[in-house]
Parts: sequence; structure tokens; C-alpha cells
Amino acid sequence: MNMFRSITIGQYLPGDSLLHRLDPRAKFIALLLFIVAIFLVNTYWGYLILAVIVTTFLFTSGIPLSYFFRGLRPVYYIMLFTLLIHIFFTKGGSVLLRLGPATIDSYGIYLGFYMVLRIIFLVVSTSLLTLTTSPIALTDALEYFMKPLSYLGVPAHEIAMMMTIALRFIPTLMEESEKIMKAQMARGADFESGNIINRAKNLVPLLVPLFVSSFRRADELAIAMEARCYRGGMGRTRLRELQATPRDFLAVAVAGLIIAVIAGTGL
Amino acid sequence: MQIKLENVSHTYMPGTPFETRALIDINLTIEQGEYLAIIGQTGSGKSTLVQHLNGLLKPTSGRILIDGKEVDKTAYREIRRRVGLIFQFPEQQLFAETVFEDVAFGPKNLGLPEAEVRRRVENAMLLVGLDPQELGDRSPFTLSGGQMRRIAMAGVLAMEPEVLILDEPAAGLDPRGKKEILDQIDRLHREEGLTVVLVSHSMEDVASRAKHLLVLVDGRQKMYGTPAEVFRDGQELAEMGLGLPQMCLLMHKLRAAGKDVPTDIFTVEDARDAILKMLGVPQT
Repeated sequence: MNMFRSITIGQYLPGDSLLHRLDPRAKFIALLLFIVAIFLVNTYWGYLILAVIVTTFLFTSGIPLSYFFRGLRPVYYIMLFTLLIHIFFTKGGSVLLRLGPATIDSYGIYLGFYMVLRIIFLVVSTSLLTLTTSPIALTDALEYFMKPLSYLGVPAHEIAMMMTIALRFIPTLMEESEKIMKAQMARGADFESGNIINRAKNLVPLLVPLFVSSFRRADELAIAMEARCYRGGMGRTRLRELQATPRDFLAVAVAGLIIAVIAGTGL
Repeated sequence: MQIKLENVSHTYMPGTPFETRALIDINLTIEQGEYLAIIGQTGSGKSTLVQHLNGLLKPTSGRILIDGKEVDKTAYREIRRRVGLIFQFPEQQLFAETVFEDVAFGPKNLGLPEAEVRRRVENAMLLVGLDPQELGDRSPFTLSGGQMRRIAMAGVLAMEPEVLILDEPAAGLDPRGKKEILDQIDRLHREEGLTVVLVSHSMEDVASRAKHLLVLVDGRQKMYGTPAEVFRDGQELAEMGLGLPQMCLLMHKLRAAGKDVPTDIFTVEDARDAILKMLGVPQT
């Protein structure tokens, strides 16, 4: 019954690599630029360049490869699905194989692998961000980017705080669901078989206690925050100020350069 | 029923950076009618160990034999019926609209006829000292913490298990509530003939109640024996960060001062008798 423990997509792993040390804002912008580059690439040669960059960062990040790829497991199905859809439904080029009314065309195979590569790059590069950046640092960066919006009345700090709290409680809630599930299983509850309606019904003994404890927890957290004089973002100082260094500007510049090269050469 | 663990080890999240070895090479036999206390500090593997006893966790290596037969997938339902597990803070698992419905959840899952469900619910509530007529129709969420815990316990007892496992049943209760719950467990053991496995971090709570103690330190079994055997060497336990029961400690100190007293003493009454005997006062 360790179903929840096995979900590790993008779960932060503390470390001391270059990626870990970069300012989260720089990582964010660089990632956005890199994603643009992924969509600009037109040829397999362009992907080769991106692959070299991504694998370099992956190997220097200090994240165990087995852990990295285990976390990507759910994405494999999406990739397989994309590939099959393109192979069977994209027409064009020469017909390679005829199966009754269906045909497999060369352009379909080309586009299928092309899209799968795109998904791989998207998933690998974004997980590199979340694996090397703590959730707190990520929301700090988001708050920084949302700051201009606060002049328009958008509660930037509050949104960031809500995200921080939500992220903080994901593992707690998973642990708790697991515990309640086990407790009900010890009383003969069955979460794994039956048709979809019965399965939904069987979730009641899990969901009710989970809601009850979440509300209680939220209440306790609110009291604990108020007891320490929390009153939103106004005039609040930070324990860790984000400090951009030349290295961070360099990272963003390099990401920009990649786009320029790809767009300029038509790779 | 007899539960036997052979070289049982359990590793959480193997093959990831979060890998933790929670249990290492546990060998243990729990006989019919046993009253076993598993003691250890937080994180010593107590809760992991008891979840193996009813098939909620499977050992990473080693085997678990029930009545001499290895447990396999098909037997889990049967084992969960025969081995009742009450988790820490069980009141957090209450969910139904009425107390009756909540206690009846287990028996209903067993597919019992309605009359039998009703009998079991009422019986289980009486066993934990609650009045089924008075509380049966109330919402469990309107009751006090102590009552909610009893109802959750009744929910497991209503399955009529042969073995009852309790994970820190007295956690978070005041001294009186604690004594009541522990006395109730003693009674279930004595009068209903239940095999009891009690998890605790407190020597005080279990020393005078359990037949055998198992001391876990960092997932390994460090000591196993009757309370008298385990508490014979106070020094060793203190080094593991587990204190002796107060009366036992007193006896050890008297012994160290050269007095002739036994050290297997866990209650105030026994300590009084032992000291009177030492002083040569005739006892009534």
C-alpha cells in the first residue's frame, strides 16, 4: 500500500549543483526561453543541440538517473499514445504499410517521433527545474513575477502564500490518506475492486475523515499564523531575500542565445 | 492463532534517495493468548512492524507465517478479519453519520446479516464501555475525544478479531483516560481471551500489563522477554533512551545501595510490599 509514495514527479531533491544554486527567477526565465526554443526547433539537428544541453545539466545536477526516470513513468503512456495517434492518423508522404482501410504514412512516422521528442524535452526540462528548486523558492520567484500585478489589485503575496501552503501540505495529505485508507482496510474496506460507481461509494470512508482533518488543520494553521501576527504581505520582510548574481544573468543570456541560434539558422 | 515472523525486513521507497530501512531482520512468534508490548522510540519501526501482522504491509524480505502457513495474496481478507488493528489516533478515521453506522462498517464489509451486525455493534460498544442505546444514533463528531476513540476501537472489535493490535492507544489522553483505556484492553485480554499486541513508547504503561516485551531500536529487535527479564539490566535500556518504570528504577537504586530487594517490580503496591519485606515489617 505504498501507492502515494511512488509518485515522485518533480519532487525536489536537495543538492549543490549549478542548477541548485541558480536564482529561482533566473531558472524560471531560462526555462521559459528554453521551452520557446523547443517549439522553434524544426529539424532533428536542432533537437540534437537541445539534447546535448539537457543531458549535460541532467548529469551535473546530481539527481540519480534511476530516480529521474522513475518519476517520468506516467509520461511514457502519453508519449506512446501520441506516437500511435500520429502513425495511424497523420497522412502524407509515401504509404509505407496498408492494413485494410488504414495506412501508415512516412510523414506520420516522422511527425510522431518529432512530437514525442518535443514531449520528452518539455517534461525533462521542467522536471529539472522542480527537482532542483525547493517549492518555497519557486513560489518566491512567482511572487516576484506577480508583484507588478499587485498595483492592479491582484493579491500577489496572498496567492504566493496560498501556493506555498498548498505545496507544503501535499505530502501531509498523502500520508494521511494512506493512513486512513489502511485503517479502513483493516476494517474490511475494499478500495481496489468493483465497478466505478461502487468504487466511488467506497471512497466515502476515506474522504469524510480526510475533509474533517483538513478543515481542522486549516483552522489550526490560521490560528498559529495569527498568533504570530501574520496579516498578509503589507510591510512583511523576508528571511531569505532573492539575490541575483552575474551567474544568473548569464544563465538567462545563454538561454536567449540558444533561441537566437535556432531561429537564426533555421535548425 | 499463531503469528510468526521470520527474518522480516521492510524498506520504504527502495531504490530512491528517500530509501529508509524501517525494519531489519525481525524474528518473532506471537502465540495464542499472548500479551505482547512493542516498545521503542519514535521512528524505531513499531508501527511498520504491526502493519505487517495483518497484511497491510508486505515484508521486503523474510516471511510471515500464520498458523504455520505463509501469508499470500488470497489470504489478506481473512487475516484482516482475524487480526484487528487499531491505529494511533483512531478517532480520525470516523466517517459515518451515526455511531451505529460507523461501528457497523466492519461487520457490514464482512457481509453479515443485519441481525448479526446489530448484535456485534452493541456487543462491541458495551466492550469499550459505551451505551449503544444512548449513543447509537448520535453523530460521532459530536462526542468527546475519549468517546470518539472508544467508538473507533469498537469499530475494530465489532469484526470480532482473535488478535487485537493497538498502536499507542493511550496517546494524547489524560492520565485517567489513559488508565481507563489500558484497563479496558487488559479486560479484553483476560475476559474475552483476545491475543493483544500493544505498541507504546512508555515503559510505565506496559510493564505491569504485558506478558512479553519487544524492544525495538532503529528497526532492530534489541531485547525480547518477560518484563522481569527485560528490566533486569536498567543500564542497557537507559542507553537506548528508554527509561525504566519508576518503581523498577527505585528497586534498582535500593539494590545498588546494598539492599536485598527484587528488581521485577512495576507497581506501587508491589514496591510497598517489597520494601516492607526488606524492612522486616510483618505484612497483613
